[in-house]
Amino acid sequence: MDFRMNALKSRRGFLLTVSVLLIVIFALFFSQQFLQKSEGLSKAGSQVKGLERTAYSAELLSLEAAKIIGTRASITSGSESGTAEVTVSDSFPCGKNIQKLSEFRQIAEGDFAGLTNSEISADFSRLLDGKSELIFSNGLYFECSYAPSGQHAEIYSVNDASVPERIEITMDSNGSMNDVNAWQWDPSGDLEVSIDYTDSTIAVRASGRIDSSEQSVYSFNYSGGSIRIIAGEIGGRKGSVKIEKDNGLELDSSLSIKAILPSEGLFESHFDSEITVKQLGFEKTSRLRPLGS
Amino acid sequence: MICNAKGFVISFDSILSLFVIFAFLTASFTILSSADLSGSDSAFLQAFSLDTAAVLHNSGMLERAVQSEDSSEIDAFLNMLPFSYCARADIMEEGSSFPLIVSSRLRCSDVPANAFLSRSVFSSNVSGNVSFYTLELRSWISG
Repeated sequence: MDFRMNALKSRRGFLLTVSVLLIVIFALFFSQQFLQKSEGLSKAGSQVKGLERTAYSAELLSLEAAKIIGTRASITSGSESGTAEVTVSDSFPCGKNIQKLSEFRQIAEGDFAGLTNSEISADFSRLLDGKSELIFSNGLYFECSYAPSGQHAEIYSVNDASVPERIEITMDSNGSMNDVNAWQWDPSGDLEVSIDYTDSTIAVRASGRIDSSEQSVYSFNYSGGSIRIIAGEIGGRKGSVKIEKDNGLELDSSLSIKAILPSEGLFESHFDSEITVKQLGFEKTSRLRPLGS
Repeated sequence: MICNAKGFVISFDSILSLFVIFAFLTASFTILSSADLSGSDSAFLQAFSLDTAAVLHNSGMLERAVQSEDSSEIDAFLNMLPFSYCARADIMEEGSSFPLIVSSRLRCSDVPANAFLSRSVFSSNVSGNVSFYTLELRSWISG
């Protein structure tokens, strides 16, 4: 009896020792794994931090450049399936502050790069050549020409599949209009156009259809010249709209163009310029994207 | 009569096992204590600070502050952030080191030496006159 009790006790003792040893070995194994993981996370974290900081600088510089350009754009799904609504808004004449991009580039590449210990390259050459282009990935373009000899804003598509079906133009001007030369509507036309033009004396609201392969001109006449909305085929591109003014006419307006066009999927827009930031061993190039309208 | 079940025997193998367990536990604690977990705090601080600066930029608060020379909107925004997060925003005219506007949340006026610093440039347009400014946002965790 004593012998069996002693044997039982010794078995218990043996089992306890093994379980404690297993727990301690597990603790050792766990701590080793924990250390390895924490070192891996720390290394990955420092890389993420560097990348995050570089991307932050590039994106904020792009945002500020877009503010200076002034063109705003938004893309939403159309009310009908398979269509999209693109709204572009700007001042007219557009590009008033665009020459400030040169000063901004100098600050970014000089003082700011020095303060943040980074290397910054801002390529605004294609915005400072007399016109800025907002490029949509579906082939739609919004072009703002700010050269003194021919200030105009134009929206057109280089892709037949994304030619606008309907265009709504809204302008609010600070002038006093004398009269209007309206275009002839064509009820059988394939381009639906809506015009909402307001100045300090008159509000003109008109809508209807025109032929997208013909050129139609709507003129708002002032004492110093006129503002013209040209719609239809411009430069061989159907379904385009161009807003231009006579050189001698001093007038400030706000301009909004909404284009409803066929769309099979998502698309985006950007200006034909970019900013590159090299910082903490990382490089981030950010395209200039318009502010939302 | 040999009834010593309640006796206490110190044997060589029990001492050895205690030594082994103690050695293993010591090794575990040493390894665990050598793990550096401060990286996650600084990563959080940086992410939060950059997000804060991005909101200040995108919302137009910075432009409104320099146009009105009033920091109250930025103060109110910083005071809405989580309690333990402290931040101070200094806005300077481009090329100047003297702050035009200083904004900080309540109880966060003393900036510690290890505060995270993010810098950015922004512009303000008043009637077509574009001016450039620098934002310095210092962030730290209080307490």
